[in-house]
Amino acid sequence: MIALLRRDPAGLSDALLVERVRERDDDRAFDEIVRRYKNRIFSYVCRMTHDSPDAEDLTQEVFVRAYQSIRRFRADAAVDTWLYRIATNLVIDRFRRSKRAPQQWEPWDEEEDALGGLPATDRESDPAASAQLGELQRQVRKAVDALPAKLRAAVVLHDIEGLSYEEVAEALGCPVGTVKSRLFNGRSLLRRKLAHYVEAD
Amino acid sequence: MWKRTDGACGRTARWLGEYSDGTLPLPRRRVVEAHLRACAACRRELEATRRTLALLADLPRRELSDQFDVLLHARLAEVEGVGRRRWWALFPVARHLRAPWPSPLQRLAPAGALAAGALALAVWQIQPLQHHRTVPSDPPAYVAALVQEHQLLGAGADLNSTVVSHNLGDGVLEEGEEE
Repeated sequence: MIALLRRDPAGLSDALLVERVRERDDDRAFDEIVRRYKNRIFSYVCRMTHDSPDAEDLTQEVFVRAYQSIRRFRADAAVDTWLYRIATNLVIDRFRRSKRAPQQWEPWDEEEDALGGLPATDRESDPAASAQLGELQRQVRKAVDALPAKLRAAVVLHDIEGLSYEEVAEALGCPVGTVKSRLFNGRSLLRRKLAHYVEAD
Repeated sequence: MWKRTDGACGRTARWLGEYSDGTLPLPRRRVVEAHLRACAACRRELEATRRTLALLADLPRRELSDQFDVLLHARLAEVEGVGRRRWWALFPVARHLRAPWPSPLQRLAPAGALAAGALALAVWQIQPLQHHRTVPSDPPAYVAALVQEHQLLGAGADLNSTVVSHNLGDGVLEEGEEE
């Protein structure tokens, strides 16, 4: 029993870590949850906020909210999906606040507007420079950043973070069919913006 | 640029994402594969989709600063008020006292229980002690013992000294105790 209590949190499953935080206020267990997911959550927040300087602050806020609400965490949910959900809600909140205090953030609710106005392939790019990996990645990042927020969230969670359709639906609080639709639209936009790099000669 | 030329291409385009992910159900997958064998434009589209997904997967991640954990711990300590190591962690039962109660009445329950306990203690303290008291010796028994002792000492002995020596070993008796 004592050996179990003293067991290193690094060897425990997510569900056991959550249980230890809830039942015993085990701070080491919560630190382990942070260690496991901080980079993924930070990456998601960065993609959603155009690498805002606030991204790290927002990521901290995600874990503070998680800590405060861990007693309401559903045992059947996945920890990463739950954290993505908190992050998404915080990002939406920032988006909405940005309407009142304009920043570099775009509104969350503009999904369809961008579909009709696809920009042409970037003809001004230098082919020699774009051949370099750094330039290619910059273009990809730019294309992702240009996606409407809802499409971007679906693309980032599924295609970059590797969540399943069901997990993305849980994280974004929408049906799986909506996730598929957003992925289709998001990928179509990316595919056309990056045509210069992804189409065979 | 790929163009949708007929219904089959449009349908394939809608399913290409799931096909690339490997999540398309088998009947649809067979339909897509049959179409891909016949349509060069859709094969190019599939290849472009796969390249796009590969580019996304290869995007580098930004690194968190070294200060992240320190700053997060500071914020968590702020949330808790007195630091993350909390007193109730030492007393597993006590954690129930800080559970999120649904109503203000329930939130006051521990304070009410403490007040009731203090009141009960005060009432108990002012109750007179009835069960332990000093009782005088039974006079006839006392006199009989004194006379018997005096006789043992002899008729010439001083009766006063007999009384004094008897009292030194007597006086306080427990209720019900027999001599």
